[in-house]
Amino acid sequence: MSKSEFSEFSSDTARSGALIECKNVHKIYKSSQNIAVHALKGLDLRVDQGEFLAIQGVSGSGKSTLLNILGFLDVPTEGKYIFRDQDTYAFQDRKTSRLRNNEIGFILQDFALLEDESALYNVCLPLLMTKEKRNSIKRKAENILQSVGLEHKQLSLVKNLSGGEKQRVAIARALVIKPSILLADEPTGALDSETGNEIMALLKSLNEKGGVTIIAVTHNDQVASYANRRLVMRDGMFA
Amino acid sequence: MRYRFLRMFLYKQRIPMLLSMFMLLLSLSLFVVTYAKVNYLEKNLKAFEQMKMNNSHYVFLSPTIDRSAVLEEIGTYPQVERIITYGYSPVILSEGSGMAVDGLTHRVIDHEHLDHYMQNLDQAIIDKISEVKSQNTDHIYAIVPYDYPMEIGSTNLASLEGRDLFIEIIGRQDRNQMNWIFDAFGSITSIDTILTDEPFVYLIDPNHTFKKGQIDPNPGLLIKYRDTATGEDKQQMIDYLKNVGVLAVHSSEDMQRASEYVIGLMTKRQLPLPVVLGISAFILFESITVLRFSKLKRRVSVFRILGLSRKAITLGINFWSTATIFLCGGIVFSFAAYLSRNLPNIYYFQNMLIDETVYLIIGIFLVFCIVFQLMINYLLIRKEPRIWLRSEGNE
Repeated sequence: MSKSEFSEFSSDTARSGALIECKNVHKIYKSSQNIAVHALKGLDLRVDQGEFLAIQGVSGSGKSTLLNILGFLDVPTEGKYIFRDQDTYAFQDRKTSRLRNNEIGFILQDFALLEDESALYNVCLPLLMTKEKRNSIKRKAENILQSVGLEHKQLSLVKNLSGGEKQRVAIARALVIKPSILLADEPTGALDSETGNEIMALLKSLNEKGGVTIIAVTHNDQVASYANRRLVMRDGMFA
Repeated sequence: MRYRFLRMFLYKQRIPMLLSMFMLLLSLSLFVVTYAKVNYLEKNLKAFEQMKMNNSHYVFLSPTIDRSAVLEEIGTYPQVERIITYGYSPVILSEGSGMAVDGLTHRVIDHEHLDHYMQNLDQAIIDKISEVKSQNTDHIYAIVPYDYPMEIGSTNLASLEGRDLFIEIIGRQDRNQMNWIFDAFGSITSIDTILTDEPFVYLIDPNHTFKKGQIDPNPGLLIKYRDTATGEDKQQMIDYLKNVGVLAVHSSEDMQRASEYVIGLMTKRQLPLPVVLGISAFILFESITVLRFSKLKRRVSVFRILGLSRKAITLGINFWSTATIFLCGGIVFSFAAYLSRNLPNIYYFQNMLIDETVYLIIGIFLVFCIVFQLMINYLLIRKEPRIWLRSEGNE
């Protein structure tokens, strides 16, 4: 597929500067044994528009916690998370949900797809939550699926797709909203290395040609090598 | 709210919802019918108690019941000390009965005549009740059917050839109201026997006027009664009365005991089914709510990640189960309202009273269901979605 196909997917290609800033972010949560776990310890981070950042770290280093905070699925216990120059501290659930729906695409290790629905429906899903007209949603979803090379699988149920195809559907779903930022949590974790490389190449292309900001957390060096910048987390801090 | 949004929460929910809806409908409908029967008995007992008619005597008559069966029944009542007969009669007292007081003679007013009273309160009363004319009374007690717009305790003015006549409503009933009382004295072997639709009737005597004088049996017109009859006289009277179809006479205490017994029996025998069914429906419904959620959990996680707010998810999750309850409630309320106006003339639907108590109980049950499923849904959706995605496999 042509890399230029992705140029239309970012809503923010012309913007520059810091998209995300984290200042002294702490996250403490209680484990199932009711023990306080200090997952993030005064973390600072700046991500510019159009950047491809890989955050590496072993399991339990806090990278997924950070990703959840960046994606408004969690809130810091302490510190500031600034998104587009706005302190998100006072953001209500409605606002953060809208941000997730309009600005943030998620690509997760387990794909987070609806397995009993078609690829097309899955891609349509974020837009079905908006007031956009049905025909327009369908058209957009078909175009995106075509871009990720799944035009022939549109009506296939997700459960019948291979791992690589599922991740492509997940990417298509993330892109259909024209996100400012893609958050990828172990995007190749459930894939074989060849398919993983394909997916990472796709993400790289989205970043380079589409201008989509990408933050990928991974423990895999190979995956991290696609990023422009790499950070390593250890015990809730950047090493 | 768009259907496409609601449809997102309908995944694999149609059959469970239909199942729970069916159970709810079945149990609530059964409950309405059964409780309406109990309600009918209880309300009548209360009305009866309010009359405060100590030592009154009650006459059970049956113009249509099989004579031989009646005679056989009489033999089983050792407590039958006083017997009053009306002989054969075209009167259907259960549709509205009244009697003149303050006199020695008493006249039961049949439905047709009572109807005439009610509809022509200012007109002369027709000849068939002319006996009233000869009595020194201007007061008639009446028991009227439920479909008459007259409350217990109200007094209605009628005109009897220029003279005022007051009809005081002392009770309300319908055609088969007294079946259960009659059968309470009989051999109750099944609840069904107290719900027969044979038109038994009764007569009340609040002022003990039957006791006041010697009354000779004279079937067809007036009730004649001699309280003091003993020995051969009594036997002669009983034989005579048996021949004209007397059933039994009982004191008010007996009647009350019988009423309470029947209500207890009714409650014991009939209410458990809809109650158990109702509880089962409730448990099933709530279980389905939980099961539905376990099916929806991953889906909800995905929705949340994709940008659906908690509020929207709460709305979507609760919409279908609440709609199910509302739909069931609507159907059951309509069913009850229909029954209250048009009781089918079939055995099962006899002797029911559907009033605000029935609606209230059904309403409370439905609110209970709604509150419970809201609580369950709340407990389930307050978790962070990423937890489910990590702990659950794909759907």
